[in-house]
Amino acid sequence: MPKTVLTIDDSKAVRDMVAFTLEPQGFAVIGAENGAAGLDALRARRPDMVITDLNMPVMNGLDFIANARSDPAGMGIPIVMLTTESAPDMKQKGKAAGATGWMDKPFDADRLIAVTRKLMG
Amino acid sequence: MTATDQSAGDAPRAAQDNHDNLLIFRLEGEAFAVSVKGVHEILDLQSPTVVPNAPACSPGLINVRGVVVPVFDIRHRLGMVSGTEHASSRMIVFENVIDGETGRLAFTADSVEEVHETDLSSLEPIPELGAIWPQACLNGAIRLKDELVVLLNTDALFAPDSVDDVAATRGA
Amino acid sequence: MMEQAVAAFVQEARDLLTGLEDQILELEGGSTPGQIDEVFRILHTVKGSGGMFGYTDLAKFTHCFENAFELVRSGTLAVGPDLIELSLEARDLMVEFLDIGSDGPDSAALLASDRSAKLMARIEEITGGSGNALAPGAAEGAGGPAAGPAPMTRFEITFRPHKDALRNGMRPELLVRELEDLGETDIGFDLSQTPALSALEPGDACLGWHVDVMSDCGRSAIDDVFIFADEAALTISEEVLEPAAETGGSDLADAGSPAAGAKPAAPSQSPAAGRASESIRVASSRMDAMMDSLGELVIAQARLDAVSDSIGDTNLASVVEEVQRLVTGLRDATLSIRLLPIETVFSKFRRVVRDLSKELGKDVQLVAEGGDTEVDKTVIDRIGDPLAHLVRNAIDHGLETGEQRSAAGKNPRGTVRMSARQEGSEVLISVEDNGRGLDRDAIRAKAIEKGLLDEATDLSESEYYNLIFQPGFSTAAQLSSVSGRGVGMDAVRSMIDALGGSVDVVSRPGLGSRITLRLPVTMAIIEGLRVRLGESIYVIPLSTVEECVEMSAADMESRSGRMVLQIRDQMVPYLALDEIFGQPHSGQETRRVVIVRINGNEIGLVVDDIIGQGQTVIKSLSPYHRDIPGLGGATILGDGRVALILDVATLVRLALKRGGPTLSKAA
Repeated sequence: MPKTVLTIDDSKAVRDMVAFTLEPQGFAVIGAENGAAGLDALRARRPDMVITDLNMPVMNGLDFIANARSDPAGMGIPIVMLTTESAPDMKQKGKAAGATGWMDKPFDADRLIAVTRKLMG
Repeated sequence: MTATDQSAGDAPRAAQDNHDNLLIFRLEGEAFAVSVKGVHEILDLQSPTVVPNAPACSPGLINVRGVVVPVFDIRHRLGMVSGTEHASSRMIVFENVIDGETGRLAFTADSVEEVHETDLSSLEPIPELGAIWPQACLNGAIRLKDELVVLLNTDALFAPDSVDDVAATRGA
Repeated sequence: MMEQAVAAFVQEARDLLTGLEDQILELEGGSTPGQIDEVFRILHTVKGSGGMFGYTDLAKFTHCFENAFELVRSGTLAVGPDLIELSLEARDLMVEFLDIGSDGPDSAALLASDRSAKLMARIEEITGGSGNALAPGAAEGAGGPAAGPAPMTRFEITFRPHKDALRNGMRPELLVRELEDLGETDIGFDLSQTPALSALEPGDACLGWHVDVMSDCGRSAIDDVFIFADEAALTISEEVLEPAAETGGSDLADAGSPAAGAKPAAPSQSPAAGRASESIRVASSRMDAMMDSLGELVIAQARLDAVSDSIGDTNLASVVEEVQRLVTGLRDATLSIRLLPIETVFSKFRRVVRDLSKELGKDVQLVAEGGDTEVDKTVIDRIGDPLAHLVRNAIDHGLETGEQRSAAGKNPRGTVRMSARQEGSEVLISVEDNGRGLDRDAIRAKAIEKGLLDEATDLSESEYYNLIFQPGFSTAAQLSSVSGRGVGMDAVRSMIDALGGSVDVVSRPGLGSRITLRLPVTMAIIEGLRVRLGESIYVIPLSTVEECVEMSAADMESRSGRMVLQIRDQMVPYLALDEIFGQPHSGQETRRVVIVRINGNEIGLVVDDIIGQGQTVIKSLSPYHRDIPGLGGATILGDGRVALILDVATLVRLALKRGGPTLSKAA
C-alpha cells in the first residue's frame, strides 16, 4: 500500500504541485484547504505524513500542528510546515507546536521529494 | 483511405525538397489536384441538407461521423455548369482555414484518380486553355502522362463568397 | 504534469487578484482586522506561490505590497487613500505579470519598467522603506549534495534527540540510515540516559547515538542530515584524512559553515503552458471534450430511439427508455458542471463603475443582486462586453450630473443596479439606472432622421425604446469617449443574439431605464421541437415555443401587407417559413403554426408538420452559413441527417417588421 501524504494549503496550485510531484514517486496524496479540513482528513485518512502551510484561513498551520499532535492520528507522524523568508520565529513556533521539519517557500519538486524521503525513508 | 496519415509521414521530406503529394480528381473530364495534406477523407456521395438562402458556393450540409460539414460547390466557383452524378462520384472532405477558423468542408468530384508525388518546382503556369477558370483559384499545372493537371489554390477556391455574391443569391 | 499545477497557480492567482480588488475597494469604507488579514494573505500567497511556479518577477513586485500590509496588520501603518490607490494600481500590474506569463525577458522588462519602479518607490515612501529589501531567493538550508568533492573526512557524531522528538515525528533510525548512505559508518548506542523500566514513558525519546562516518561528502551534507533535529543534543567533530582530488585549492570544500553547501534557490523552470487556461476547477478543454462526447451520446441515443421505433419490440423499447432517462440525467449533470455564478462577471464592474464615476465626475453607487444565479460558462465568457457597454451607457447617458439630480429633487448620488435571476430555462440579467430615462421624442426624431422610421408612423412606447438597438442608430456625435468606441447598442444586441438571447428595454422619463438581457441557461444542448417543411426538418428551441395550432389555408389572412393570424381573441403576426426560406409551397391543405414568444412578442411560424421533440446538440454553422438570417445552428438527427436550428429572435424581429406596426424599412 502506498504511503499517504496529506497536503494542507489554501492554494490549490501548491496542493497540485505536491500531488504531481509525489504521486509519480509512489505516494498517495490527499489534500485539504485549511487546518480544520486538514484535521478531518488526518482523522479520516490516517496519512503517513503531513505537509502544511502556516498562513491559512479558518485554521492556521500552527493550530493544526498543535491539534494534530494531541490526536492519536497525528502523534508520531512527520509534519512538515511550509515557511517563508526563513522567518526564524515561525520555525521555532512551529517546532514548539510539534512540527517535525520545515520547507521554505518557494520550494521545488526536488526539494519536496528530498524532504519527503528524508522524513519517511 | 488514409490520406492524412500518408501526408503526415511524408511531410518532412516534402519540406526538404519541395515535393508534395497531390490528390488528383476529375471534374467534367478535366484533371485537378489539391495537396493531400488538407484531405481528411474521401466518402461516397451523400445527399446534403439544403441550407435555405445559402450562398451558391455552399448550398448544403452533410454529417461526417458526427461533425456537421458544409458542402462546397467547386463547379460553381470554377464557373462550370452543374454536373450530374456518376457512379464514380465521391465527396472529398477537406480541412482548411476559412475566415481564420480551421474547419472542414466537403466537395464533390466526378472521380478520384490517385495520389501522386510531385516536385512543385516543376509547376507550369496555366496555359491559355486554363483561362476559362478564375485565375485566383489556380496555382499552376503539372504535366502527367501527357495530360495537364491543374493544381488548385485551395485558400482562394474555398474562400466564402464576396458580400455582393451572397446578397445576389438571397432572393427573399 | 507540472504544467497543470502552474496553470492552477495562474488561475488561482487571477481569482485571488480579482478578490483582492474587491477587498481593497472595501477598505475605502473603513477596514476591519479581518479584511486586512485577507489582503495580506492574498498578497502573501501570490508572492509565495509565484516564486514556486516560475513567476519570481511577479513575486518580487508583490513583495513590497505584502510588506506594506504586514505593517498595516501590525498596526504600524494606517490605511489611507494613497495606499488604496497604489494597491489598486499594483494589483492591475500583478494581473499584467500573470498575462505575460512565467519568468522571461517580458516579465523582467515589466519589473524593470518605470511603472513598476514608481509604484514600488511610492509604496516605500508610505512604508518608510522598512523591510523592503527583498530577501534574496531563500537559501536552501538542506540543498542538494555539496558543490564539489570534499576531502575524505572522519566525522564523529554524537546525537541525542529531544525527549518529544518521536511524538513529533522524528525517526532517528532514518537519520542514521542517511549517515550510512554518506559513507562508511560505525554506530554505537548511548543508553546512559535511559530510565529504569518503571519510569519509562512510552513515546519519550531516550536513546542516544555515536556515529563515526568516513566520507568525502563535506560537512554541510552531515549538517543537512540533522537539519530538522535542531533541539537535539548534537556534536559533530571532523578530521580530514586526505585531501580531495582535483579541488585545486578551491575553498568549495571549506565545510566549516553550514551555508557552504547552500545554493540560491533555483527558480523552478516554468513550462510554457503557464498561461491561463480558462479553467475554473478543471481545464475547459476537458470540459469541452466531455461535452463533445455527451453530444455524440445524445445523437446516438436519438438514433437508437429511431431504430427501436422501427423494430417495435417492447423489450427493446423499455431498455431504450431507460437509456434515455440515464442520458438525460447525465446531460443535466454535465451541463450543471458548466454553470457558474454570474457574480464572477458582476464583481468586475465594481472597479469599472468606480473608475468611470471618477472619470465622468458623477457620484455612482453600484448595486449587484442575484450574483449567485448560475449561467453556462459560455455565457459567462461572452457576457462581459455587452454588460460593460450597458453599464457605461447607464453611467454616461442614463445618469444625470450631481447638480442636475439635486435640481430634480433626486439623491445626487446615482445608482446603477445589476441583477440576475433565473426564470424557467432562461436567465434574466438587468442593468438599471435611476437616471433621466430614455427620451422618446429624441429617439423618434433621430429614427426619422436616420430613415429608420417614417414620419407618419407612430409606435408604442416600448417599440420606440427598442429602436436604440437598430444598426446605425447611435451616432458619434452623441457618444462620449466613454461609451463611444464605435460600438452601438446594435452591437450589444448582436452579441446577445449570438448567445441565443434577447434584449428588452423599459424606461420611465425622469426615473431611469432598465435593459434586460434574456439568455438561455445552457448553450450546448437544448430541447428542440422538430418541424417539417416540405422535405426538410428544422428544429425550433423549445424554450421559445408557446403552443402549436392547426391552420387551414382559409385561416391565412393577408390584410394590406400584414400577415396576421387570429389565435382565440388575439391577432398574431406570422411568417410562412417556406416563403422566408425560398422553398416551394407544399400545397398542403392543413398546416401547423408554431407560436413562439420572445420578449413578450408572439409570432407564428407556419410549417407543414410537427414531428416531435427531443434533445438537440447544437453545432455551430460554418462561415459560409453563419450570417444567414433566421438560422442559429445545425444539429444531427437520429437518422443521421443534418437539420437546421432556427434563430427565433431574428425571425420574431422579421415578423414584427412585416406584420406589426410597420417600420418604413421593412425587410
